[in-house]
Amino acid sequence: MNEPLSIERLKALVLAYGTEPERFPAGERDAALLLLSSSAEARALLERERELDVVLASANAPELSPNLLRRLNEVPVRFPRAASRTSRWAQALTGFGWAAAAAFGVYWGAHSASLEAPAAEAETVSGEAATELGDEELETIELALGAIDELSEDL
Amino acid sequence: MARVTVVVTVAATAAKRERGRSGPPRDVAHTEPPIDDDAELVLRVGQGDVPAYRELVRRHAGNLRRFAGRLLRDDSEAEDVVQETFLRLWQRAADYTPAARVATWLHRITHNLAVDRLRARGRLTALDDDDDPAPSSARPLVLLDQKRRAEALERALAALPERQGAAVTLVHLQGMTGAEAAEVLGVGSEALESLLSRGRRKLKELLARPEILGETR
Repeated sequence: MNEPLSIERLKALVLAYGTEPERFPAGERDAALLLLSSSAEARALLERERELDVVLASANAPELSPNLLRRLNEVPVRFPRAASRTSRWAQALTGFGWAAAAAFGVYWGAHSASLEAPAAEAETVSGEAATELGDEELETIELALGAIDELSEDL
Repeated sequence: MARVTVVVTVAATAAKRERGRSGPPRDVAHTEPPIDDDAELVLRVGQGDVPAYRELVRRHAGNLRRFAGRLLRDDSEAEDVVQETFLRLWQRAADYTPAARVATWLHRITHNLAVDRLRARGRLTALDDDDDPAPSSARPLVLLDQKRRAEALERALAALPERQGAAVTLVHLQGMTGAEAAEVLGVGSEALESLLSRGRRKLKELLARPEILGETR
């Protein structure tokens, strides 16, 4: 239940917010309406401020110059966005995921080749594959870890 | 028939508020959640959605331009500040947290950018350095036609101290609640009330002057 409003407080509200009680702070609005319904002095206060509200209501709608509108519409084209935190995380996780998948592929390939190919050939092939893919893999992992380090610093 | 009329009236009132004109504001400070349709648009802008960005420009750029102009009183600088505000929206939308309405958030950015420029010029008016206006005359402004009233109001608003003009613009022209306007201007509720009441009092005085009314002696 709101506390009763004094006529002085109502006057302060009207002088600041005008004659529409909807503009009054929510916590004092009901008490103001109650006072207005019961006090001729309170209603007279409103009447004295009404003229200014009529003038304020005649304000022109805000307008934009064509030049400003063009400049605003060009912002997405002229100013590329920096990656957001979320997208940086997504990039890092994607990189990490690819790295993990590639590592698993290397492991699986090496392991299955050694089981199925003739021993001498298998050793050569799997050795080459492990070397080549291992370098790529290391690079990808390095990139992913670098991205994660960068993120940790940012966050 | 009466019911149709009421519906049309309510719709017209809502449309008027949407245009950023005078009218009873929503009081969202204590009763409504801050998330609105604008917040969804900002989330989409955060994902690089250009149409969402342009919709936010359509909805808010006019009000921000008027607000920036009220603070800076320089068309070129006001336009620069609005562009910078939308640049920040475009580049940092992903960092937006819906603690405040989008309109409040954007106005706050515009306000801070404008204040930076005013400070650089050494032109920021202190909160209380306002002269006491003379008592206003009882000129019947409501008898002026709409166009002349609007022109007189524009001249009077331009003559207000920056912060009073900004407070009156936010609350009485753009329909913000007192709590939202206080947040934009970075002041408490009492200071906001003081800015508003002094602004309205000064406006009344200015609107009684022949030069503001566009009258020649």
